[in-house]
Amino acid sequence: MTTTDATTETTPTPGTQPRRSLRLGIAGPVGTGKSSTIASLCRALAQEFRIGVITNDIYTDEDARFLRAEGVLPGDRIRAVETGACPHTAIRDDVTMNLLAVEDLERDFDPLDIVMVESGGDNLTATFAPSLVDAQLFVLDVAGGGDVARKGGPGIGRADLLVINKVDLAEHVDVDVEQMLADASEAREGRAVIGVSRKRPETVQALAQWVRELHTEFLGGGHTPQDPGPMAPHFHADESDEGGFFHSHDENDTDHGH
Amino acid sequence: MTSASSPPEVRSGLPDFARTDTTGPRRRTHRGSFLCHAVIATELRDGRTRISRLRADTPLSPRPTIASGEEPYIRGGDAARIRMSASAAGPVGGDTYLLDIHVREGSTLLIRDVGATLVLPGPHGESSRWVTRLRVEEGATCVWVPEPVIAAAGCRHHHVIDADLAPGARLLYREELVLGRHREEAGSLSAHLSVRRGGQASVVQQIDLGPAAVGAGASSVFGPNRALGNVIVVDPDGAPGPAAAAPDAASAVMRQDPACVQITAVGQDVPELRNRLDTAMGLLGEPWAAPGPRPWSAIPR
Amino acid sequence: MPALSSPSSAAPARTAALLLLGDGRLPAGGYAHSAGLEQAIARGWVRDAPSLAEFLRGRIHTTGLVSASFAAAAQHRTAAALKSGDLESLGSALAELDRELVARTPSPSLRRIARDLGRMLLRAMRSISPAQQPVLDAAGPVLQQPIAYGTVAAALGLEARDAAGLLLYETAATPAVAAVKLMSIDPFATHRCLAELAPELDELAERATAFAGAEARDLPAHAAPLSDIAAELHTNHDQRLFAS
Repeated sequence: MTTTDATTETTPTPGTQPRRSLRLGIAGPVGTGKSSTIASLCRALAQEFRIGVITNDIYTDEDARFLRAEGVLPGDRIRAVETGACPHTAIRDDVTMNLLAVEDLERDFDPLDIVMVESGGDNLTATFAPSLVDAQLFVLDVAGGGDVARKGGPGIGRADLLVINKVDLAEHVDVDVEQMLADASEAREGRAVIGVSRKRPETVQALAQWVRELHTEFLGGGHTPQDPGPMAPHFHADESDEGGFFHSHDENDTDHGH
Repeated sequence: MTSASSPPEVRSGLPDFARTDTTGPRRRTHRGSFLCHAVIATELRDGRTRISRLRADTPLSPRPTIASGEEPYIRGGDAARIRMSASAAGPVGGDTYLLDIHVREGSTLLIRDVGATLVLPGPHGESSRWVTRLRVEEGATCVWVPEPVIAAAGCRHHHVIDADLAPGARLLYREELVLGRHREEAGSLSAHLSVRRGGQASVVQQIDLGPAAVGAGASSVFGPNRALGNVIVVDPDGAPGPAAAAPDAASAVMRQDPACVQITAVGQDVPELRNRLDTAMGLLGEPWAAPGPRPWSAIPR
Repeated sequence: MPALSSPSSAAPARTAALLLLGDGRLPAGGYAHSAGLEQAIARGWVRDAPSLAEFLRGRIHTTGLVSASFAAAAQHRTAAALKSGDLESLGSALAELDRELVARTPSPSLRRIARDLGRMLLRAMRSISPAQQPVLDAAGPVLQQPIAYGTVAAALGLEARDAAGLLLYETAATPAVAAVKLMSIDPFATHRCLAELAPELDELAERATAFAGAEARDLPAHAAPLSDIAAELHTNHDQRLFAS
């Protein structure tokens, strides 16, 4: 993996097995607040858990810099992985960069309780492979439109938790939060949905509580990683004269850059 | 000189002829080319560096000189000072020069050139070679800042520097390789540089330039440049300067290992190259850095 | 009845294993790199298909030949260790190769990238080919990428020539594929560049293979100074798409 930090200069010592942390993926479209969700979780949980973070960026290490600037964790426990314009590949088809980054972090800061992996902002279909994370959050925001949750897809439908972020903005963008949460619950067939705003501490607490319970379940061996499923057929605008096309991704499609 | 069309003796990081021991008497080859072997050796005697052996062999003529001008990294002024001069043009095609430099324990040697080395094609289209074997022993220092090696049109030259350093030895080596004289077409040059400390490789490189080198003009290799320079500093107390830096789009400071740093720069001509090397050396800090252009060179800037 | 032609070698060809290892879809993290091309484009050194072709040609005759020779040498040492059953000394033999390759890689950025890519390949192969765990463990967790490829090739039963050919192709294909994302170029044109380099890639692979059994210090050392400089420029470049 290529970390922009000089982190991999330490030589791994075989034979000593560091603690296996709860690996938590955070996916979702660009700008919905993945980084700030991680910052909020770190603030809420840093007293109880030893946490590490891996960010995936499209350009260099912006997200890692943001999180370091937030000061929620010691800076060296936040590492950036550069994904070469393929954020979905790095969490799904070819997870080796991220997997090695997680393993390095677990080794260098042993024992860690939770390692969060932030996906580079992508589209609605990008989800984590179960070989990389134990559980995943999918983050939407109200500003993206009240009907996004109804559209479904593997992330919205089957991530372990759907976060509807920035609920404080709902009135400014004419979104009915209750309706959006209800639509999401329906699309998810009852799986967990939480509306969150950084400005409403009780919502952040609810999110943190979900992670606490997940960690307890993970420690007890009661948690089994679920694959939300492969990418669903999705729409590309402006890639043809006809105004876009539907297609789906399969294993032959790792270089697909969008 | 080549990559795809390497002559068989230059297959590897160091050509075979660089390892053969040609310590016999000076002789001309059957076609009148030079096969010469010069030797410079210094030692520490009564706390002062002395020249213990100096062997000139036409056309290679090392000459002792007195201290003059800036002398980078000469501690306390104790050093043997040599200027290399040539008593004939060349090397020309067919020539083989062998230079042995041996800086014995604790001594300090400063080597400069009287003028640039102009490599010319021979009358029979043969290649030329200049092999320098440099040994620097424990606690010894070698500062070697030769003038440019200029590959005139039509030449095919192998330039080999094989430095074998003790773990506690110091080295400053600066090389400037130039393709063609002013407005002249490039000759072909294959420059091998190997620096080992205590037998372990620090720097090993072969740079093939000019028309015989396939792909050398590519923007991944040398581009449209005409001059290439390298500075190697080995200091057992720790390589000076930053771990890495790129002062501009044509030069870089790159630490090779904890004791060795390499500067690489390219340029359209010698003045441009020298400015870049000087600027990059400025990043190394004292005693390597100097304000303004380095005044070591015999060649006016 | 005409005689059927029989294969000249007794050893079965390992075509499928070679394709597995050479496939750009092998999940070993290579997709995040442009091998210096992004910086070359940013600096205006590569602008179109002809200048891309020249970029690739320069690369294969320098970095490519060196990488391929080290891959062949690593394959040779690993295959010998597997044959003799003596995995004990493999680590030190590969470490010696690693030191020599590091000395041939002036740019600290390029060394770090090759090291990371080598680690990723070894990590991926531990999961992909668990039966090879003993030899992968003996090789060590950290090797420069060409050496890791050579070792993995031997573990999969491939020859030195396979490892060399694979590295040379990789040297050209990584930037060629990245070009499509970095500049306005016809994707067919990038693959045309690769196709036209094929004879040179094969010739260089033969030359590299000849070094398989050579002493580590005698392996090729062809430098590419602009690639070193570009790698250091890229590391300090804030808005980059590729990690290298």
